[in-house]
Amino acid sequence: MRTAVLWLALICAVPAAAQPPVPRRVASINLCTDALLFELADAAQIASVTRLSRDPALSMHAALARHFPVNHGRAEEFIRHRPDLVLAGAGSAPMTQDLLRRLGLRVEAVPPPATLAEVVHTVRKVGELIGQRQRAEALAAALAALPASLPAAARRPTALIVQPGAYVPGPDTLGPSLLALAGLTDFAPALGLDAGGFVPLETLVLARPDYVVRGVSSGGGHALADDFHGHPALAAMRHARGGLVPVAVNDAAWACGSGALIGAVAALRTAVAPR
Amino acid sequence: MNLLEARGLCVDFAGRRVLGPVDVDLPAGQLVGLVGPNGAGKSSLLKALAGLIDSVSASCLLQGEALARMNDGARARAVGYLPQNPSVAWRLSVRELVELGRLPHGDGAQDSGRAAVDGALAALGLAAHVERDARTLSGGEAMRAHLARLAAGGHRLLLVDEPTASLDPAYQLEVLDYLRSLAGAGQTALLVLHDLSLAARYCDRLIVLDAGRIVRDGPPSTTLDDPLLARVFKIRGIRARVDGVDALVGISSRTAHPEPAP
Amino acid sequence: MRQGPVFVACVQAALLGLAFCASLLVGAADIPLPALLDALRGGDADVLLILREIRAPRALLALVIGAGLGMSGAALQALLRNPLAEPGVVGVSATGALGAVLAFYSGASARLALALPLGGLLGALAGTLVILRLTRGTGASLALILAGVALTTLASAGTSLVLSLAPNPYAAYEIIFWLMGSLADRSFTHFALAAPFIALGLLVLARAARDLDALALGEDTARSLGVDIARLKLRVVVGTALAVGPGVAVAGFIGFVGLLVPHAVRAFAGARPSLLLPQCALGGALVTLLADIGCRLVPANGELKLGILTALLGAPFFLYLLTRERGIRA
Repeated sequence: MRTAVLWLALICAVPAAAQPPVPRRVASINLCTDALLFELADAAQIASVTRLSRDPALSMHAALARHFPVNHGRAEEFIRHRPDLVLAGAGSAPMTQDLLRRLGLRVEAVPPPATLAEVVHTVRKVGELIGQRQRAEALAAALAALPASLPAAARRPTALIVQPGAYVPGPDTLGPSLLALAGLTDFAPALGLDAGGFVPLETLVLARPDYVVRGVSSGGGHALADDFHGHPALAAMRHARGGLVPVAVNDAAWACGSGALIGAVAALRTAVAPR
Repeated sequence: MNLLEARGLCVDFAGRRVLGPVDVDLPAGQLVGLVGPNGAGKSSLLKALAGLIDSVSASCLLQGEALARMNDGARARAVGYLPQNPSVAWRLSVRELVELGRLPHGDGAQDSGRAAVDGALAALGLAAHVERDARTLSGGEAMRAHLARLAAGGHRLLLVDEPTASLDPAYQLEVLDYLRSLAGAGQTALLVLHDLSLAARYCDRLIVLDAGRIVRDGPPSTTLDDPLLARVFKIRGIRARVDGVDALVGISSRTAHPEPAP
Repeated sequence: MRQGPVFVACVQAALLGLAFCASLLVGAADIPLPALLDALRGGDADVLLILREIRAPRALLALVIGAGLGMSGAALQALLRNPLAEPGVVGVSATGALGAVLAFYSGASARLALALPLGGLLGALAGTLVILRLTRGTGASLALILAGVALTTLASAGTSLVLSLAPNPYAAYEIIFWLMGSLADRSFTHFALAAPFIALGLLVLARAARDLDALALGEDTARSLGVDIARLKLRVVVGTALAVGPGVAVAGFIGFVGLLVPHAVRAFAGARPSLLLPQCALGGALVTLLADIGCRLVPANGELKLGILTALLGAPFFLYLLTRERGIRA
């Protein structure tokens, strides 16, 4: 009998032993996994984040990132201080990921989420990877609650996200989801831009969605791309016939599927709330 | 009064003295030949008088007026210049080419200008070619066109650099005949010439330049004597009586190996 | 095929007027002609807005920039006595772009709008002076082309560098605009920034045109005819910089217009600069306007870049000129 219990214990222990231990040091070579690390990990767990996370134009955690070492996404940087886990974006820097694995490091690739459900899933997955299930669960719940917290309305205004270069993001990004969560109707399908694409100014001016959502970044200098939203035609049409109200969102808040999405949705909801 | 009087004219180039000091007097109505070996400074003298290169002189007077103090337009009207081997950079008709000669007067489109242009075209026998592309003219015809341009300008003093270079003998004579006729009508022409016998035959006066200095200045009969030919040009000449005058008509042989120009 | 200059100018002006109208008809929003005419008579205010704020400034910009390119091309060909010269080929447009890019991405133009055309102007000025220096004495084609290639390469590399160092993350993607040129979505603001400079440049070049006539006979003869060569060169340099730089600052690099137009116009109006230069202003405006219309008609995703179209037309012509030149001069 004692032998049977011993064997049973042994058998149960094997799966537990097969689980990789909670990584003490985690590095990230992708801007979006940087954000997830900041939101879910203990400070002591973060081995390094990408240099880009310190750029306020690209990252919501720029100030925080200054307290952590940065990497440039190159394999050599990890040889000396071998982290227990390296988080990467699926599909980005495949050669680097490959090389890191060849060096014996553990690399987990996280695909960029394109819907709210995918964001929730990603948050949970990363939480499990770094041994922060509780925090991840809390964040996931907050994210999942977003649709329900949208106030009812008779009419959902139309909106078009126009990014620098007159580019309208398609369903492979969180753009359409962002609009939906803020209670806005995505105008892109009406323009034949279901899959994303470039919107000519004339078309935009004639179509007159209620809102034009532009990405702004704090910091980051001037670019031609900003000229589009300043074109006199938009202002002229707005004054003459209405619509085309410009709304600014911080691109860095929603481009990555992370907890910052909550803030982005809240900001957008406030911006388009009827007065 | 001389048309041109220059005293102590000097030209320096790259720290080296290439000409001078020389004194030149050019009366009206004279055809003056400027001869000398290569590198003697002939072109430099011409360009200096035309105001195209910097020169220093104690004085240089054109019709009593200091050349250096004349404004560009006045000088351009008084002095005409034709460089060696003149070319045309883009398509111009012969008429347009000759019209350029009126630029200093600014009346290319007016009656006075047109009259001068027509006159020059006629004098050089170009009436039939006025619409042709000047770049397609043969050597002799092209030189006629350039001379017409020069003639159209109505200049008192003409400075011409090697007008007979690369021309057929017949054209050489024609060009010099024409310049001779201009001198006869009261204009003064200073020509750089390489062909000594031609220079001796057509010019009223020869200025012989050697190593930047004037070594002889006078009528051809006395200037190109054997000692000078030997010393400056390293040649022996053939003389014959032409029109009752003892003239240099050819070159017989070298006296020594010609030295490279300094 | 030679015609009187007045006739040629009238024909060009008439075609220009037609092209301008055509430019107003073409655009991303497919507006049929009756609707456009109706809008002009006080109909659909939306359409009128499109015409007024989007298409009209675009057409005017094409006109003005094209005039600058055409006239400066003819002036450079006369000054350098070389039929291959034009702002794009000799590198002046590229240096203008570099100047503009520096003014833009450094934030200078955000503080002072005029900094943008001034940047282009200074860049173009530097380029013209360098070319003049590099081809001093000889206008020989080989020296000119090589100098132009070197200058363009250097300026393009500099432009890419500035863009990659710019703080704004989107800057790196905008190299396409600067190197390929485009008039898409330009507004009256851009027109107001560039047009006065270009107009001034055209005036300066027009003043130089008569003196340029004499250059047909070489610098020495020209000087003997009373032309102040130093002042002439200055006029052409400054005029070219004014006529080209601010245009590049506002529309990017557009090449080969200054090459094509003088050759085409010469066939009809003769080669004398005093007549040719103003004609080339008209011709340049016409060609650029037509090319810009072409960009919008090409059924691509979005529109074609203007610089690409002018290069597709102009580069083969450039090659043709090169092969033909072997017969005329070294």
